[in-house]
Amino acid sequence: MFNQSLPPEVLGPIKVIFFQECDELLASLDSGLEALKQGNADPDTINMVFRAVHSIKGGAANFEFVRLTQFSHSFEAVLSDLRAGRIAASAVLFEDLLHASDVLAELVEEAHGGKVWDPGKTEAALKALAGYIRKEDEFTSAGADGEAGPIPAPEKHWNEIGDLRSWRIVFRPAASLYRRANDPLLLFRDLSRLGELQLELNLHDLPNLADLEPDRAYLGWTGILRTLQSEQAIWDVFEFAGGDCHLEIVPCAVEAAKVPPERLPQVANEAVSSNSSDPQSNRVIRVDLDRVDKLFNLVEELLVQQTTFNHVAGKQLAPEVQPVYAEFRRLSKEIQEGLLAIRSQPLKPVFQRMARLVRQLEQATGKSVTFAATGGEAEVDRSVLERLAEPLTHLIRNAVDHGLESSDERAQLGKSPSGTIALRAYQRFGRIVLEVSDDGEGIDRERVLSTAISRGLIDPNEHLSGPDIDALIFRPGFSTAENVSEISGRGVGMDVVNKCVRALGGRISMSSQKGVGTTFLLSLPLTLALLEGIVVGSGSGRFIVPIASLLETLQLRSEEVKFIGDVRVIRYRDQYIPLVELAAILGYPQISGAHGSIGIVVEDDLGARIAIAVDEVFEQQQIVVKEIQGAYQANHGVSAATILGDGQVALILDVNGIVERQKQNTERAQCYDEESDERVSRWAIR
Amino acid sequence: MSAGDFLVFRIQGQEFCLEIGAVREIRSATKTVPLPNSPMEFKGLINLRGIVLPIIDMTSRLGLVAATPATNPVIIVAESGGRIVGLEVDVVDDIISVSDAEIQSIPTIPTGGIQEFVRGIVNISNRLICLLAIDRLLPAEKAAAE
Repeated sequence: MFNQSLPPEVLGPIKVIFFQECDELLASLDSGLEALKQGNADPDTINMVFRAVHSIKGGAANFEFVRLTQFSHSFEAVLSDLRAGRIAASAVLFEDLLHASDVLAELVEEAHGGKVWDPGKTEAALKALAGYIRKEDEFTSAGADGEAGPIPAPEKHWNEIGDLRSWRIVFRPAASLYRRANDPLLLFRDLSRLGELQLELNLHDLPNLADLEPDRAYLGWTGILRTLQSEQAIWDVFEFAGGDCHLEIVPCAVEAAKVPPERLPQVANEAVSSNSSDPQSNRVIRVDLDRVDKLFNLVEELLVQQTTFNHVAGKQLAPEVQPVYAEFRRLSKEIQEGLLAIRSQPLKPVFQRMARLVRQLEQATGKSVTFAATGGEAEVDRSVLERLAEPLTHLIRNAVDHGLESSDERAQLGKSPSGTIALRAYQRFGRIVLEVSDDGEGIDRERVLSTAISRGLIDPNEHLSGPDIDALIFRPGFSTAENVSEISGRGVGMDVVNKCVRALGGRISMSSQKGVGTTFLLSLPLTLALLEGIVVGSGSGRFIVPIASLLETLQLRSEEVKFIGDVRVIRYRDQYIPLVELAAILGYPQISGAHGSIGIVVEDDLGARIAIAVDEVFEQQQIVVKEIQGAYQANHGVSAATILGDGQVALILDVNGIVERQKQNTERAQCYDEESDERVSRWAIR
Repeated sequence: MSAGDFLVFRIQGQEFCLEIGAVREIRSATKTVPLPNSPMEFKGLINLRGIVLPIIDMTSRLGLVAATPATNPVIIVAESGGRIVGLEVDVVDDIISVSDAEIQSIPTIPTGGIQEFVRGIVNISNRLICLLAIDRLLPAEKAAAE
């Protein structure tokens, strides 16, 4: 084992890798178990689940995490029986396995130096697992009794690797395997490297020539492989074909009979192979995110310099240099996109964390919750992904704790006793939208309003529209939870969620129907690093309007500009929308009351439209988003900055903030009418 | 208190200093891009070799009266807690070495709003130099997020 042979400075980094791997393995374990629970009990999924637990056990044993090793051993034994068909798949079984995976995750956390978990809980999970294991398997039942079960000793592994065994391999590729440019011949070549391979081609699916469709797959193979290698090594050959074929790998009956049933040979052998030769490790490298980020920053600099170059010398380039320069630009852009792709990751791991959270909350609250997550395959930049879990966690906690009624209440209301929390992700207009909805009691606007008044957030005489009342829950100092519960925690209100989301350049909104449920809508950028925008000029300043919020640019003709009160409006698609001067809305001194001649029609995340008058519109370009150093980022109307080709700093407009400012300005205008004396002081306070 | 080297500069005729370790570079002031809805002492943004750098007008930050505008203002690029800012001052004087004994605490009698930014008083060769606390010059993270 590592601990005896390696010094801590070597062991440390290996442990770090182990825990990183554990996160990934736990994620694939969860997604596999969820798929199995949905009734997709295909061998590939069972294998994936098995391998995940097995790999955790292997690592845990190496680092001598006793509890983790014991538990994963029992877990694995059940999965092994499931894989071999010795126990039948059932909803109850998968429920227990999901629970076991939660315990496993907790034990990993414990091994990682986290909170020490309640041994009773582990015991209970072990007992549940033990119930599935055949009674004669004393190896695992010892572990289930909570005694220090025997940890598979490495010496034993080394003995076992010497066994020459035969395996029966049934391989039936699907058409998708060929489409992904996998070649069965290459797979067979790899198999034959493991030992002695005999292959038989199965033609019974092959139709008559007249019925043959050229892009379908008809062939299958059955092979016998005699090898010293572990079963894992055979599975690994099919690592990249796994999803695209029917695959069975079973020990041959004659040879298998020589192996005592208790030895669970595939289990013991794999432990060795996973330490020595994991073919995936050759294809996937782990890179410190800091290194990627450093490179990313350099590429950003490169792009800024390139824009500057283009600005300074672009028009003077000799004809023979121009194609070279074009190629240079293309390459830099590709490097940048490549780096972004490296940083992009699917949302799935975050979704799986949320699934686990829901299961924990079910236990803590005693409510029954069905969690449905869709769209986990959508990819976002790492910068966004990392910061998604926090707002989602708050939202889901709140939904389970406050949104959903208890089973009894639900039954009385004629709802299904089990509540539903749905998490949905999809891309829209270059942003990622996340929906968290529950079918609970909904948010009572009356109560929101009265709470807001009692907390002094609004004036009792203020008239608010429905959506405005909904928006109150995002205000600091607002929390509808009358009893602070252990689950939602103290002081974590919607304002925290709102802040998290806004810090990501996102927006959150809520819609609720009393008795039917609540939906929270989060709209976030896919990356925080890049943005497609048009450059506009107002006065002497340059600004960026993100394409994501741009609807149209139009020439403003004075006869088309009308007034509603003292607000200028223009007609856009059969609707009058406010027209604001960019410099004015941002609070810059207006230059001799000049009006911009070009209208930029933009839309905020909630669909509110506004036209912004500017003097000039320049080209559309990809903007490298530069965080404003120091602490001045938060600003209504401006989200960040960029550096233009001429080296000038340009502010990136935040349309949501601009719409908000316009609303505030209108409110202020109303203040004038009512309390003209207080005009000056109101201005000063704002 | 921390003895060592300090960069001395002048704002409205008064002398101030900062620990040299917090100073990244000194450059002449350039035109800034104003940021809307920001505090008065916040002058705007400049492009510092690809970094968008906020510039703080020290006269206004320290609450001094801008009696005479500087002819050639200077920007001290300073770093505190991982944040970089530019401090616009009237003129940079010199670098001084100060021992612990030469740093006095602030007078207990109230000296106005400036007290909040001053860590100590350096008293050498009959000069009175206020030692500024760089971290207090920057806006608080939390306040800025509101």
